[in-house]
Amino acid sequence: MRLLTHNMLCNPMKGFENAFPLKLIPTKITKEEVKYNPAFIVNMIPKLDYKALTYAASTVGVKDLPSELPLQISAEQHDVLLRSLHHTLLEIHVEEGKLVCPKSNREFPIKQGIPNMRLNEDEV
Amino acid sequence: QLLKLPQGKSCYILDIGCGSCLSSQQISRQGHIWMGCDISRDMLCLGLNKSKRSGADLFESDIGYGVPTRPGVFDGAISISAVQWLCVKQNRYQNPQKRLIRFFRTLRKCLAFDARAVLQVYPEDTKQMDALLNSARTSGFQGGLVVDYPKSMRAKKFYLCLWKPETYKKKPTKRDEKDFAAFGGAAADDDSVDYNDDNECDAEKNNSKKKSKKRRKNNE
Repeated sequence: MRLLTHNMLCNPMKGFENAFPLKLIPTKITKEEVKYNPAFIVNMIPKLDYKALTYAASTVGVKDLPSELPLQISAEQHDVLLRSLHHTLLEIHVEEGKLVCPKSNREFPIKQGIPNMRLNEDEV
Repeated sequence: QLLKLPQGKSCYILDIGCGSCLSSQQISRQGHIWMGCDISRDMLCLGLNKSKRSGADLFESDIGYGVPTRPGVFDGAISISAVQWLCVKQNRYQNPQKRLIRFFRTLRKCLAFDARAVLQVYPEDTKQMDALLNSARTSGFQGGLVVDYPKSMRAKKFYLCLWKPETYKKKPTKRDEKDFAAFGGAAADDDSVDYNDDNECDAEKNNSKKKSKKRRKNNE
């Protein structure tokens, strides 16, 4: 599971859709190179919850993200920042671990890099 | 083509029921990043390598419980042969109607304001097709059904092509109507293209009805 996905996922249970971000507890992390695409990162920046991203980055050991993003971002001026975001969002994989809902404490396990967001029948 | 992604832009796409990610690879080839979900972990494991290579990601989920993401994050959504399964009761606790509504409502929420969802479906019968269309409409989507190769029994394909009402504040252009007509003459057969009844502009509804009447007259 990449950190981009963690930045998007919420608890699917009714009434808990605003429980975001899910707590990230990684137990196994790998890193894999992905082709750098600055246009995609610039497109995604308005959609990111940056606070949640800095939280997730801290749980996986990434410390070089700034505390705030500049208002205007361009691929030419902010190359270092974009590369750092690219690495954080796309190149770090949480292979094993769990996501925990901050409101209900319901755990969603991550195995083989795939988080299990399925609910039990009694939770629906 | 139906998804109408902005040209030259690298988008974030949701693939619903991606399975082993065979179709999702097409999205990667166009330069987009995708997130895939499926109810079957075994199928997702088959697609793990493909997703890793292309910067994509997977999660295991039952779409009958909705799409578990924040609102407005996806630039588009696709699905191939997954959504029609919501019409089928998998166990005695399930209510297909509720599952359909929950899926379409959360799908609408997770799409950006100008994003489209194109869902290829294989409905068993007209009852299932109606259930899908009605649930999509009730959930606030506009759009309808595009039928590719309508005259071929083998090649015939059904696409639910959906967007949010906010996308078209103004009247749809002639180009948009031509897009629907381009797919196997779907617009020529009025039954296969159906615009949302809650359309903001009644004039466009009347216009499309007049045009299809004219086409039918011309065909006769």
